[in-house]
Amino acid sequence: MRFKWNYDFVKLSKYFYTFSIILTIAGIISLAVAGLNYGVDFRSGSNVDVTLTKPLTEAQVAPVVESLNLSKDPSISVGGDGRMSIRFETVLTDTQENQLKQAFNKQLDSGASFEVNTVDPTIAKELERNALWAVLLASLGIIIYVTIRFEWRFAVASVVALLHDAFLVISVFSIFRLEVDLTFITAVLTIIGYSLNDTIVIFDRIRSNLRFAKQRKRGDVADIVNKSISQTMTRSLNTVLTVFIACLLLFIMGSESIRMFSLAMMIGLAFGAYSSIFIASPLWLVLKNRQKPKAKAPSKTTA
Amino acid sequence: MNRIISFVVVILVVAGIIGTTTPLFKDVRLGLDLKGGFEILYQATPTTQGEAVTRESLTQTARSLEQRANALGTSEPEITTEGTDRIRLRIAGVTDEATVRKTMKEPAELTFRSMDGCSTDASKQSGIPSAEKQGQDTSKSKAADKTSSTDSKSSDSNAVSAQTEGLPQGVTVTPDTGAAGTTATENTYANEDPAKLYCKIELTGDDFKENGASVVYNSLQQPEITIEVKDAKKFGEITKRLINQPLGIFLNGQLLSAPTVRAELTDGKASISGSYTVQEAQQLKDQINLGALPLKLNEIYSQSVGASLGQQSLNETLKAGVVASIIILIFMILVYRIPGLIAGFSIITYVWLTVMIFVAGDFTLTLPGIAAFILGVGMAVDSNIITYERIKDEIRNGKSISSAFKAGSRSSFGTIMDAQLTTIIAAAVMFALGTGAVRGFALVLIFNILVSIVTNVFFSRFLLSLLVKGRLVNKPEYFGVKESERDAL
Repeated sequence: MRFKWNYDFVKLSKYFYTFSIILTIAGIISLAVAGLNYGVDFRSGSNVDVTLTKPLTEAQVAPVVESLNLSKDPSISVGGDGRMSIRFETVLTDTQENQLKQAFNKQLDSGASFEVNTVDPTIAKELERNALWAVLLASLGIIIYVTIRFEWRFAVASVVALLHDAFLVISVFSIFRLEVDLTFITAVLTIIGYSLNDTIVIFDRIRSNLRFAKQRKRGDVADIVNKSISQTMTRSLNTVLTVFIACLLLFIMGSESIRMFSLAMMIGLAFGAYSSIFIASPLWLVLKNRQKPKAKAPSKTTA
Repeated sequence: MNRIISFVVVILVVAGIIGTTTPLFKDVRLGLDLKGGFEILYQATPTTQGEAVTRESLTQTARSLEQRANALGTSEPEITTEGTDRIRLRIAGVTDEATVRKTMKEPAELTFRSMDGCSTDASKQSGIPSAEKQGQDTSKSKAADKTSSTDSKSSDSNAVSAQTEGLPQGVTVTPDTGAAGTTATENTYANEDPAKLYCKIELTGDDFKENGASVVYNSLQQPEITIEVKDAKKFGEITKRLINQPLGIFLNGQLLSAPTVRAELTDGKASISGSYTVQEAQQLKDQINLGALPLKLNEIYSQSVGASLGQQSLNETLKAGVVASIIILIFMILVYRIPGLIAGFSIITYVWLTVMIFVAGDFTLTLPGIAAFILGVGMAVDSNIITYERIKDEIRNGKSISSAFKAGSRSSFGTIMDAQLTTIIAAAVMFALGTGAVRGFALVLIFNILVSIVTNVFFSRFLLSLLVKGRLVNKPEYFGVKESERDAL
């Protein structure tokens, strides 16, 4: 098994850098031009999810909803498995909400149950901003901890990797116009947690291999990185595979409300495993190689 | 042999504990997204311009909201203050959401109004006191019915203390609610908007002491509401002017009660008595207290989930979780054989322990919580995989099973700790700085990691060590290593 992974990851890394940079640029462009496809959590209005006990078509529902005159152009979408979603551009008041529920129960389906989300987007935006700050400051915390336990180069590389993963997931959601709701924020946080965990495990191996290795020439450190990655490869794949299975099943079988969450998780897990191997580790090497070669007293000023 | 026995005993005991306590799983408090109910985030603003929302007024408003929700008989309302000017309200499993929501929102503008100077007042005020006798009679029997013996006992002392505090005897009085509706006054005004009738605003919510209203019982066991105002002089002036006139208590323009002023009150305290049931008195007290807060509440976010929809989400998610767990278990056993089996057992223990912490700590499980849970399971699996991969490496390098186990456990420990600690630090920062969902997620994550270290590092290793030392697991195959992969030393 362990001989299977003897690739020159370091050499390959420049292709992966290119790949990541292209994706990042595509993400920046997509975010700048189109932004994110915000769900109701981030747009002012009301979203009514109806669970039906009998099949109804849009044509049956539309006249009832429109007759109530609740909001301009309510959009109705019928999903599979007996669900229906009605979106109002304005926020429904309590009375309007009740009107709708009553009319729906009376005229269409007496057993229907409702999930109403009414949002003033400022609060969702605030949570988003708050999460962003939390992530940035958490990165700072990680840098401090990893610098103490490892060295600053590991810290920088792991933080770059986790920000890379979070940003790429956001980019993918922007590019493919996937809907971003509040659970998405949680998914991004989860991915950051995973990515970090994954990266640190590989770094730990690099560090322990460094301890026993003699570094005579430049290429030696690259060898250590390659060796460390291949040593941890089985573990990386097995772990990501098991968590991926869990998310895939949640995506397929789980409730509608966490579908986007599961999707974001799957994308993020893939990026998390990828970045730990192909971005974080080679990046550490780049930083390491720029260390002044053989300065007898290792200069600490760079930290 | 001893070790084998201890291994079997440990497994049986733990499995037994898990098996017998599993019914407790139903005690996990489920969030709104899984159970149904609604959540409202209020933004509090001062009712009077220029005043600031203080910490104190905010918590008091929250407390009043809680009392109000409790009074409505909702199950475990969860009310928390957030930031400097927000109150989050969560009520699960409500059937009549509209009523609850309306009542919760209602508390806003409390006014005491008089008919002083209004066009219609002069001719009609005389009719009001006639309600008194009848009203008090009915209330007496009502109160006796509704008050349980323990209630009246404890409230006896309340009544005494209130009286010794020097509330003027027989002071204010007599509302015309309920039974009093038959009086001449009510009939005369029946068709008129009370807000127009009581045209002069004498006192607003600001004039009352915060949480100054309380329910006491008089010597006849009738509930009375005592109130306190901030400015005794102003109150004295008003009561002097309005003697024998009704003073309407309005909440958001709606007349709650209209007691008649019986005396001039100079000490800033008054009691309102009459035909209230205990419940009505409590309600009025809450309304006055809530209105007396200098804060206005606006809904800025609300979410409501139908009970059956929440249940459906939970069922689907659980089913997915169970299937995922089984697949992971099979995977672990196929790849890591005996240790994989132990990993499976310790992961089950981990899940069980985490759920138990939710039950014991009375935490609420929400969808983001489940997210953190998944990450936790992922890391739990990872801890085991890291250890077993290390052990496999050592076996391949030609070490004996027991020394491979020792070396593998030791070297993987540092790795796992570094990875987990880094994540805990990230979670701690998120917890410290985040709000709402971010905070909940971070907290669950921290707990998960701690539990994971206990079960998937220490417990799992302990179990495996019993097997290894007991020489029961003594072949590389048991670890998923082929003999051909081994290097001779």
